[in-house]
Amino acid sequence: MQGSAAKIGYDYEPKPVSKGARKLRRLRREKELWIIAAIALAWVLVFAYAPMYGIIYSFFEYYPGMTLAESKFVGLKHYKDFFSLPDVWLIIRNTLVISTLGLTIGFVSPIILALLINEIRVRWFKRTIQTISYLPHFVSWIVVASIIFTLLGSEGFVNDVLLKLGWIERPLTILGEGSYFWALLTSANIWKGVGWSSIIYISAIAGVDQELYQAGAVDGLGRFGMAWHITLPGIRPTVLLLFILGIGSLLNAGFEQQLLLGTPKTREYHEVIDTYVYRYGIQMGRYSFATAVGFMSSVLGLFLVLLTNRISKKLTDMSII
Amino acid sequence: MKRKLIFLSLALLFLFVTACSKSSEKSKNDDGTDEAFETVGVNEYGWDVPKETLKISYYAGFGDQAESDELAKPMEQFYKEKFNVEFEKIVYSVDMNERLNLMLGTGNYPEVITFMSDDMAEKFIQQGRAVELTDLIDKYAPNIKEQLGDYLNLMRNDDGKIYKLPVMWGENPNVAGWDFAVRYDWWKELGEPIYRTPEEYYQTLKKIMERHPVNEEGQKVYALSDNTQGSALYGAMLSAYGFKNGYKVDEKSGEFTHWINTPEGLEIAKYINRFYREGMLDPDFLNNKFEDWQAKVMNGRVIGNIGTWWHTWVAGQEAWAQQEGDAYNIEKRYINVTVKAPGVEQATDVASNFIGNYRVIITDKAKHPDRIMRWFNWEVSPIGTMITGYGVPGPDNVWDIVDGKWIFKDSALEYNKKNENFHAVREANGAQAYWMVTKSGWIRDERLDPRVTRVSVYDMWPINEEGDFLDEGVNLSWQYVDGKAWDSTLYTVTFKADNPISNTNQTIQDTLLSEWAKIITSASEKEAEANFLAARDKLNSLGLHDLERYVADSYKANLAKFNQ
Repeated sequence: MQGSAAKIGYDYEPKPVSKGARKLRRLRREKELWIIAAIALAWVLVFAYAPMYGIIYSFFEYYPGMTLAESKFVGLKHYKDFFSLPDVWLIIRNTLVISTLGLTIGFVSPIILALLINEIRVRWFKRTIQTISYLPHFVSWIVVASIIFTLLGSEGFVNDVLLKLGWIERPLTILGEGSYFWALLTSANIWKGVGWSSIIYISAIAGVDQELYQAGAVDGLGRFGMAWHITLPGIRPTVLLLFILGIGSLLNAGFEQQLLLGTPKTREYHEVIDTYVYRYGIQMGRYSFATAVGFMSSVLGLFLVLLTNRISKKLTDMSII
Repeated sequence: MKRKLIFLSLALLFLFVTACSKSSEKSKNDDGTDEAFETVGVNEYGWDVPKETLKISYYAGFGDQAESDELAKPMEQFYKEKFNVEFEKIVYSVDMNERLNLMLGTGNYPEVITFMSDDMAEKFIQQGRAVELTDLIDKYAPNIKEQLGDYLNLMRNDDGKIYKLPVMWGENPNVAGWDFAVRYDWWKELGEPIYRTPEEYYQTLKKIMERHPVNEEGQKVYALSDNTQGSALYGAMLSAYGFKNGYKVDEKSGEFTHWINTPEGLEIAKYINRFYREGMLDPDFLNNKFEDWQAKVMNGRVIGNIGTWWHTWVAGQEAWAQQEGDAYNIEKRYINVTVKAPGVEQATDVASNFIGNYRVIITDKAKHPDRIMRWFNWEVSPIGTMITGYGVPGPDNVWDIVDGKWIFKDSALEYNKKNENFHAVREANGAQAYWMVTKSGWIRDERLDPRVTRVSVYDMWPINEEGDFLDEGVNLSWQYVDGKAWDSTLYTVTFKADNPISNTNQTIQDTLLSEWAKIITSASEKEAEANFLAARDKLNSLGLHDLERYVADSYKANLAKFNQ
């Protein structure tokens, strides 16, 4: 630039611009975007960030009706209380198992469904299948629980068929067996959510360059080969992104499902952190305890997200942060 | 000029403030009551009608607001016209304890809170949100003092002050409580073999099951089912063994032993497990909601019931009578039977907790707590209880006041049409629409219709000249019930939020339920015994002995308070 200024014949030196000024300039340039995002940002600030001050209650012996000043400071007592519960390791086990099943089988299922739907050539059929697959997402868990009881109860459809086929002599007590609970819950979660979750993968698949498929065909790849070598790598960023975000929910294993499907006999398998905190924290008015456990779960979740993000960056050069 | 104007404004302001404060001082007595509460005279229902409309807002627990307001319309109009009283009844479709915790947290609650648990009442009291009632009761509520008698002492705190009152209190008006029910018509086929022990009951059910293995649709019939996740099974069994609220009480030593720590507990576990192993217990008993269980009962798939008497009453004969109309056979019903284990002197199937499990408080938001206490006083009077429980007296309702007597309509006495002629009618006339402190125990008054007995806000039972129930069906159902209630009042235990024993209690309750499920569904008697002993060890390690001591101490404290 200086050279060209000399060529033109007058002195021109661009003024140094401060960082703040550059940001302001950018803000002005993008002002329409900021206006659009303002409401959402305000919502996040008010409902997600502002309530975070409540974490302080987890360090006090707070009872509803008292002020913070009136409450006794107890430090990490509630955190210690959680780990000294008689069934704490049972609760953590159940939470981790249910979440892990969700993160493995539950995570892979929508990808498989998306790949399968992508292979359907008949357009109307493809759309019909897709629509049917995500309808259960809109059904409430209360209805789903009723359906499950009707299907799997000792006088339910499944037992009826098995008895008529002569495969069993007495009805199976599927809902009363704790050892079936995890499989039952995971299956119900998959049935309810697989269609809805596959939408994002279907959109990602639609974004894969079609020329790659043509090149693959030239190279002799079959349909499975194309899915494996082209489609999956093409949607890898989406998969990784959702996996990293999903890891953050490792300590949130659900709540409604356990309350609705659980029975006293399955308690050893269905009691998770959220249901425990609801009964012993919220219902008994022990808000400090509930806050402590919730905060702890969130911190661990954040840690897991950051860790997974870092590992992903190292291994695949992809990350969300 | 400017200074003069400022001075004048300040002077006027000062005079204004002084006048206001003086007038507010004038409006309150030393005890905080309102001198200005003028009345125009006592009405025909014994209420001293205020000159200015008395308005009371109160939170009454779980419910649908629109439905509640609709049902309350007749009473709203009646109270406005005859009593000059208006109520703002607040209900929410959420768990009451959760809502109360939120109310405490936000400081947003009405003048009165009723139907709250004792624990929640204590929470409000501990935080100074409840008005002291001791002097108010002395001045304005002679009916409360008279009717509660010594039981009022149980409402006092350690300083002798009263901050709460019971709701749904009084002697239990029910004939039956826990019971061992059986289908009468099927039992009659066997020749009506009277059973008085658990073993005899088991044999009876077994014989009936052999005769009725399936219903008319070919569906399997079970001896027993359940809709309480198994808890009613041990509840009723414990009553047959004379246990009190789940504890074996040694009156001499004052020791309370939880049933899981007793040999009788093991007997009970084996007894119920036997039903399960022999296929006599509905395999879905742990999953059944009340509606599921009710459907099975109505479809003739359940022979008996170890549980609460009114469950089979409502799901059985009441439902069948409604369903089948004129074709209904009165013998198609469940009979309630008192069963005692061998060697037990008295079953504890009918418990009478005089102070009940619910409380009412006047909160610090109340502008005129004395006026609210006056209303409470009227509500607990016999006429107040009748109006609260049965709605507006009149020719359209089930009852009316005729020549000073409280007479029930003839149609209301037709027991086989009780739902349509009695319950539905009184509900349409505002029965139980506004209820803050009224008792649920027996109403005893010489003005009561002599054709009925056991009158409470819940129900009344018509009798004939011989003193038998008017309805043959009722006589059939209750002929084998002893009906001897034991006073469980002093066994009431309060679990305060800041006491660690509350957590212990909740943990034990939850664990007991899941362990009990495991015990009942054991594949063999040996396994049931092993599971029972494992459950015992587990519960004891969770602090059950501490709980036993706490319950015993509560009883002793109640006894001392009662005898003050």
